[in-house]
Order: sequence, then C-alpha cells, then structure tokens
Amino acid sequence: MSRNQKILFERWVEKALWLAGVFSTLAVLGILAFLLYFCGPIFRSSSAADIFNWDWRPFEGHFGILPMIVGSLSVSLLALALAFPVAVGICSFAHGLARPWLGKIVLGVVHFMTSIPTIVYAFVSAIVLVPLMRDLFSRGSGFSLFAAAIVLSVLILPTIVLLIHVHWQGMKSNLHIPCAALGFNRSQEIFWVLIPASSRALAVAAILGFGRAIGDTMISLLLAGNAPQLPDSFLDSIRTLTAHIALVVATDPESSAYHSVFACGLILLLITAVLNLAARWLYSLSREK
Amino acid sequence: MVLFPKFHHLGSLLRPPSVHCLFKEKLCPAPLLPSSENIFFIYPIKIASIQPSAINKTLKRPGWHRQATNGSLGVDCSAGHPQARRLAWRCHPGLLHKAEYLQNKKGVNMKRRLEMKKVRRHVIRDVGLVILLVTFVACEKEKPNEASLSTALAPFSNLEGTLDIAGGTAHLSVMEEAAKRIMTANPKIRITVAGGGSGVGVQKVGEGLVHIGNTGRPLSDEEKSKYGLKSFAFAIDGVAVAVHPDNPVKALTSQQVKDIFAGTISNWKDVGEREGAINLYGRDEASGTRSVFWKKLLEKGPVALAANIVPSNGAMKTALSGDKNAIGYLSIGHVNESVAAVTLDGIQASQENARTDTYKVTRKLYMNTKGEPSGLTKAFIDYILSAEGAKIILAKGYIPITK
Repeated sequence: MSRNQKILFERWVEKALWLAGVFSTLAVLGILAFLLYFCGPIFRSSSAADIFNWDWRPFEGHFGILPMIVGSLSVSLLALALAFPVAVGICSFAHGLARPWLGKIVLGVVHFMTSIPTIVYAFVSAIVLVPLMRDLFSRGSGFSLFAAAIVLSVLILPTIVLLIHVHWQGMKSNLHIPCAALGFNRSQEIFWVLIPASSRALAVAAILGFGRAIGDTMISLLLAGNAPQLPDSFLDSIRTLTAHIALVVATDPESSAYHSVFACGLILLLITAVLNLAARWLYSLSREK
Repeated sequence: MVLFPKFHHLGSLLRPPSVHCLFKEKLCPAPLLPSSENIFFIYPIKIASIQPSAINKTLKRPGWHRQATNGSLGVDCSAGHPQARRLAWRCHPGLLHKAEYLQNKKGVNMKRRLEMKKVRRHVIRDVGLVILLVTFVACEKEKPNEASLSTALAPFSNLEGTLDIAGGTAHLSVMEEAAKRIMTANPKIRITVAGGGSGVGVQKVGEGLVHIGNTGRPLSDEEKSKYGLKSFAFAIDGVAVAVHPDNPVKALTSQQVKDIFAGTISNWKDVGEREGAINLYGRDEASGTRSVFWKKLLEKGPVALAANIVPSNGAMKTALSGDKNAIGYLSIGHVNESVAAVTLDGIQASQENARTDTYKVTRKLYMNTKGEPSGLTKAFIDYILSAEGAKIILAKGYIPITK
C-alpha cells in the first residue's frame, strides 16, 4: 500500500467511524423522541394524575405506575447492597489477598459470568431458589423482592467486579511500591490505601451495576412475583417497571393500560440516563484528581 | 480517614497503619533511584509525617535499610534476601532480568518453557480444527426423513414457504403438533409457533407480523374493525381453578373462589382443615384465560393486588406444581398430574363437562387472520379444522369444533 492509499484508507475509516457514532447517537435520541411523542397524550391531558398514583387495577380504571417505580428501585438497591461488598471482596482477593494464580482463576470465573444469559439465571432460580425461599421463610410464595434481588446481585456482580478490577490494575503499580516500602501488609494496603484512593471509581462501578439491575427484565419477571403492590417486607411479591412493560405491552393498543407502558419506558430511560451521566461525571472527577 | 478507631484490637486489617496521613496527598512520583551498587532504594519517601514506630517496624523486616542522605526507606536487593528480591522485581521488572529471575527460581530454562508452550498451543488448535471438520461432515450426512403423506396433509404437498403463528398460550400444544406433522410431510414448509398471550396474537396479526394470531377470547369490535381480522374458532377450552396435588382441598364453591381471589379468605383453614396462608397466582393483563376467568367465574369481582402474576399457562402450571399453598387458574388442556383441578360447585372441571355445557367457565380458542386467508395460511387452518386436526385437538385435551 502506498502512502497515498494509506491516507485515503484512513479517511474512509474515519468517515465510517463518524457515521457509526452519529447513527448510534441518533438512535438514542430517536427512541427518546418517540417515547416523548407517545407519552404526549398522558402528560397533556389530566390523565397524568391517573398514571402517577399508587393504584394499578386496569380493569377498574386505575392505572397508577408508582408501585412499579418503587418496586424497581427497591429491588435494584437491595441487589446492589448485596453485590457491592461481595464485589469489593472479590477484587481484594484477586488483587493480593490470594495467590496470583488463584486470583486469576477467580477473575476468569467472573469474566465467564458476564456471558451467562439472564434467562438462564431466572429459570434456574425459579426452580431452585424460589421453593427454597418459600420453605425457609414460611411467608409468601417465594416469588419475592428478596429472591429477585439475590439473583440480580449475581447478575450485576461481574459488572462491578470488572470495573473495579480495571481501575485497580491501573492504580496498583503506583501504590504497591510505596505501600511495600512503608511496611504495609497486603490487607492493610487494600483496606487503607487502595479502597480509599479509588472511592470514586467504586461509586462509578456501583452506579453502573445499579443501572444494569434496574434495566433487567427476565429476572424480575420470573422471580419477583409481579404483584402491583407496595412491598411490606423483603418477602413480598413486587412488580418492576421492566416486568410491567413486558406484561402490559400485549394489551389492546387503545387502552390506557397500554399508554402507561410508554410512561414506564420514559421513566426507565430517564433513570438509566441520569445514572450514566452521574457515573461519567464522577469518573471525570476522579480522572482530574 | 480513621474508620474504626475503637476496634484496633481486631487485628492488622482494622488497625490503621500509622502512616496513613501520607496518602491524603498525591504520592511522590519520583523515579526509582539506584543510590549505590549494593543497596537499591525502592522509593524515596518523605517521612516527615510518618510516625517513628512505623519506620522502626519496617526496618525490622529483612533487607530493609534507611537511606542516610534523605532518610527514605529502601530495600537491599543484592544481599540474598529472597523476599526483598522478589518484591524489587515485582516493583520494577527492569531491575532484574526476567528470564534470569525465573531460571533462578525454578531451575528451568525459560526459553525452552516458552517453546513448549507454543507447541502445546499448536496441538490444541489442530485438534480443534479436526473436531470441527468431523462435526461438519457428520451434519452433512444426516438427511431429513421422508414421511408418508396422509390424505389430510395432501394439500401441503405442492406448497412451500413460511407460516408464522403467535399468540395465546393455550393454543401452543395443538399448533406445535400440527406444525410438526406438516413440516415432516413437506420439509419445504417452515412453520414457527410462538406464545405471548392473546393480546400479542391480536397485535401481531393485525400489524402483519405473523400470518395467524391466536386468541383465547373473541375479538372485540374495535379490534375487528381496526385491523380487519377474521376469526376461526377451532376448539372449546375450559378454565379450571387448580391447586397443588398435595392440597387436601378438592372442592370449592364459586363464592369461595371469589372470596379467595378477592383476598377476603386468606388461609386454607377457612375452606378446609389444613392450616396455611393462601398464595394467589393470576395471569397478566393481556391473557385470554384471565379474561374468561374474571368474567365468567369472578363475575368481574375484585382481585387482590398481592396475587403473583405469571405470563403463560405453562408458567402457571410450573408455579402451582411447586407451591403447596398455591391456587390459580389455567386452561383445562394444560391440567395434568402435576396440578390438581378443583371441583367447582360440585362439577368436575373436565373437557367432558365443558362439552355438555355443565361446566360454565369455558371459552372458544380462535385462530385469527388479517382478511380472508389464502395459500399456506388457508391450508393450515383447513388442516386444523379437518378430522385429523380434531384428533390432535382431542389428544391435547381440548374439544374440537369442526366445520
């Protein structure tokens, strides 16, 4: 390839990449615009109050989606609360507490976990975990907030672990030497230096994990029970926004129930967008420092 | 910074190292400085803020020294302290030659090890290729079996193409069996069968995404006029109230069922002798089964919000068969030994009673097409409505309606 050809090729690549970037941006904006357009009737008329209340009984004319929002947030927060400490523990284990070969195996397993489809988690848990929960707690049917949160925490674990792992890999070469020079042992190094120094990156990982949990459909659809109510306890059946969309999207397109699906979609998109922006902002802060 | 000031006795992890204040600031980025031949100072550290006890502790470790000039700590790499040597190498691989290091450690020639690794990788790759090739060849040899054509399947013999079916989950077993027989008789025809529920059936066929959309309820007038759909009823199906097979409750009155689903009766004790909270299972908003159950048995009465919602007849069966305290409702065609249908007001929920109209909670199962069906779609509908189709419908637990 001559030099001119190379330059020409480079330009084509550049253009192709530019097109790809523009296309994906337009796709996201298009989705947002469509959702807003379909939500229009709800927000313009007085039915906004119908949709933002606590009562979902579509056949009696109540179309409130607030229980689903609470359901989504509570199940994702619980999943995060379960997964985050475990993820930090796994990273600490792989970054020095364990022998290097063992750490590599653990990280390899976590890498593999990212490739398991969520339906597999959901199906296996519906058969194994749900009866177990039912017998263990003798309250409710086992299809519950807690069951869904446990499985969701397994789902988001690799996301969090890999994000922290990548960040720590970059930091370790800088921090390990001074720590060793100061006579820190491994656990002290991780607990007193690595974790405090990467607090922002940990927050970013947590936020992205939370976003993944709130966006997942299959697990909450098959495990959370889908009762459109406010949970009194961890063992109550709840319905998440995603499961709600999956269940209601097949109804008559003219009904109010169907319109509420678009409001759910818009809220989901806004939540994930805000989470992503927050993550980016935090990450840029940690980079500047 | 001191997170656990009161738990110092818990061990080294919880005890804050006394030098922690150092890490509030940016760590000094100075390069590695070899200061003499024998002693290598790993990292020069400003130690103004380090407590003396920490320094003394560090200096007790093998190989560690204090640099006289600026007071920083360092480790002796040359004096035969294996720990320090390893540490120094890990910190800066350029200090000690990697191959030399590994050779000293294991007594193995590094070059030879790398070669062996390469050979192993090649062997794995070749074996993988051979396995792939063998699989391909094996797959090629398998030819589809030629099945004898029955008379009912004869209209399909000169047709080809694809037929997509979606919708009601009660229909699935019949549709799949028919599709299997047709595709075996004529491999040129592809028939896909998907579930989704009655609502999905209407939407997909209306939008032209599938050729046949199944519903477990009659179409509403709006649906008919909006999409121009044509319905073909092919079977009668009852909706049974069902419980776990181990549940001693075998009979309920309609009033009891209403109260149970409204949430006013919440313990099995109120309808039988066994103690246990009732776990309610219902179907999603778009389900035809739910719509029939709600209209004909609950008479549009209230349903408790706490009821678990499952998205298909199959999922209902799975849920009921796993939960001893469960009650739910499903298509009679789906009832088998894994769930127990309850006798309702003294009438057994069976297809026999549904046929004679003694059992009232029944509905028809419909296939819907957009406009008048033609070609493969028409052939399929005719096949379902034929005598052989009726046999399939009976075998799957429904009552056929023939032309």
